[in-house]
Amino acid sequence: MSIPYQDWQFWATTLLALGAAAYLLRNVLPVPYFSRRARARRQEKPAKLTVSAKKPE
Amino acid sequence: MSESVPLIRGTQGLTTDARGQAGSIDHSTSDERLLARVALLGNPNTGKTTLFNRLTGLTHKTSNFPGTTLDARTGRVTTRGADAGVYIDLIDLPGVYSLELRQPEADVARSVLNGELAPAGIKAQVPDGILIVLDATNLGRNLVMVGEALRRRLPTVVAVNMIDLAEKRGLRVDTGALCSELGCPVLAISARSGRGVQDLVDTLARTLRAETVPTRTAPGTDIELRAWAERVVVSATSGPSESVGRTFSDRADLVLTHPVLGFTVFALVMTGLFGAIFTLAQYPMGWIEQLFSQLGGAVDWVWSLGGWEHGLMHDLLKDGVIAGVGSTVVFLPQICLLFFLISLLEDTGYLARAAFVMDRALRPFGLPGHAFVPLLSSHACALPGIMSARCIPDSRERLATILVAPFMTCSARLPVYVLLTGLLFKDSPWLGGAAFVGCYALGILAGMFSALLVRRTILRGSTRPMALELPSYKLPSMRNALATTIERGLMFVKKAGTAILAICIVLWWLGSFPKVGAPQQSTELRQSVSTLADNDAAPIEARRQLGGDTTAQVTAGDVRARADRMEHAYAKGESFLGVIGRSVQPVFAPLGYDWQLTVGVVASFAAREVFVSTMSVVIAGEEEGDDEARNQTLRQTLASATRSDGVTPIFTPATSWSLLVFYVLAMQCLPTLVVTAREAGHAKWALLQLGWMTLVAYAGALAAYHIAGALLS
Repeated sequence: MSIPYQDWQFWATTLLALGAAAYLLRNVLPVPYFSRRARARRQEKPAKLTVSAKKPE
Repeated sequence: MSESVPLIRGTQGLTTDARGQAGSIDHSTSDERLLARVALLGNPNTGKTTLFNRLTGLTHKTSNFPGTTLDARTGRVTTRGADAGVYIDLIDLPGVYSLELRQPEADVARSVLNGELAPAGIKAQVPDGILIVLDATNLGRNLVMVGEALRRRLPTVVAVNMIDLAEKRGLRVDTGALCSELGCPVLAISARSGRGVQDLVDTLARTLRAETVPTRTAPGTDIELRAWAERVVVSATSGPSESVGRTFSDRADLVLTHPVLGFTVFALVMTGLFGAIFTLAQYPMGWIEQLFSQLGGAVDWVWSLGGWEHGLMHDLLKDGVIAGVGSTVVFLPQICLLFFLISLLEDTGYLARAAFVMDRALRPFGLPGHAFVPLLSSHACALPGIMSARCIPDSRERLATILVAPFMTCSARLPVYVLLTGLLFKDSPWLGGAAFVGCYALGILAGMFSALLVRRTILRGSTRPMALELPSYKLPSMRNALATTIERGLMFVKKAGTAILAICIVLWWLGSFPKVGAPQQSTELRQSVSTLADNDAAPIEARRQLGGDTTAQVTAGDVRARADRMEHAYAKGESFLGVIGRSVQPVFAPLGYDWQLTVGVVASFAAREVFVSTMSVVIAGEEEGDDEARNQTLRQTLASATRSDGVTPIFTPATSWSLLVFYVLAMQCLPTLVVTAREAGHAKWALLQLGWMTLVAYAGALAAYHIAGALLS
């Protein structure tokens, strides 16, 4: 068993995999996701819905 | 009556907010200028969406209203003549019967008109005008909301839609009389045929440019408003009363809403629908498979052109990205066909009859007729289904509906169904179609059983009767169906191009490291045929090592291919992914899953459709060096894939049945759990849903594995 540390392609694929993992976990990671969409999302105003979830009587 | 007064607002023509931030629809690259932002308002089943599609073409954007999962569609309407060079942004609001209702749809429509809410990506502001769509065959009910809209004192234009259908019934609508009663422009149109639509755009542009508010308004109280609506209808329409004679809709409803015939027709329609999907989708699926196969070949060609060795980047691109994404995109034809046919059915008015028929079926399980819409929506996606359960007034019934909604087959399950039914019935698409329908039926049955259980135990109570409006039958709009299909198809492709692509890359990395040498058995196999050509007969020792029939015709090429498979399976088994799979595998061993299937099941916990791409990535590369096998399609590859011993197939019929049942019943959607917790009011309901569905799925898959094993052996 070995990890090909000397191969530059190993580091390239590892970086890509880390980027992909960060993308998948972006909503649970503590680091803010600085994107145009995220900025736009922060400006949105949530709907004030009257139907709230209540426990059954 | 009020005077016509110009509106003075400072927002007209602006596409960005005061800070110049992104967020509005970005039309800055166009030479055209925004004239106004208009809200499209109307009752359900008035052809509002058809008109929206007609006005905006296929260029509209779909997002959601923030804080909701209600679809928010925005599109651009271009004008002509004197108003050429400007455009109107149209916001499609949810269909509502009244703006005063305490329903989520009405809340959203009200909030948008108040300027408190806008579709995601658009700044909230009071719209510059309102375009109201009415059903010409049912003006009385529609006019109540017109009265509510008139009170808002915004430039308003009324479109009387389905005028062709009204004329066919002998109903005459006097738009001039309506115009003087409502105090705003009124146009008769047919959104389906396009009749009067261009005049509508011209009138809308003129009204917005002049900022002319309606010259009349409507009474304030509910009773007065209804009386006003009836008076307006009497003064503006003439023709036969609805009670005179039976219309085509009445006669058709005698059959389609009949307790027995209606249910039979419903079952036939659904079976035909899925049979057609299976049969028709085969051809484009084959083309897509070929395309991705050729893309893989193109990667090889580029590498050979550059004179590069097949290193890790080559493997990531070919076995991770192209194989993984391709294995998901291949199901695009089924998904597009499903949405296309469902959209056509909905447009005909049949789905409302199906809801009526299903109401009788739902009641014994303690669910109200209102639950049909959330459950039907859940067949597309559980998220809008659960959100639409807000329309159920009784909290116990609402909670029961939320808990069972994810049992309905959502579109994310389709790729897994297609894959597994394709493996089980590769030569008989109609049997595959029947199995497909069976999956839907099993999900519904499990949902109903669960509903009955919760309604008899933790959520006891009586069910309320349901009132349902049955729209007139009409020819479906191909344009509408096409727009829906393209929209859903693009959403699927976007998901395949983002989240699934990312998962494929991560899985490929986990399955590729650490690197291991060849196992002893494959080394011995290779040594035994090292001096032979591929077509030469393999020596008896090699055939014996393969463990099969030693008298069978086995070539040296077959032996090398087997050695390839052994090495691939060994490498995957020793990888990080293999370690994870093997550590969880004992839990799934009773269901017949090896570590590779376990990885697929575990990886798809957050999203079901990931199973297919996971299988592709985990098993991809198995045929490395074997030209014939390399051209196999994904399904063929999976059908011949073996376990770590290199002999036992991964997908036996019993295992495939077990997996199919597991995926029908299991809760494998993280967003659904989040929405359940939010809508139900407490995380414990989401945990109950997860625990119960996992238990049912495990028990069902275990039973399927043993029953199929016993019957098929």
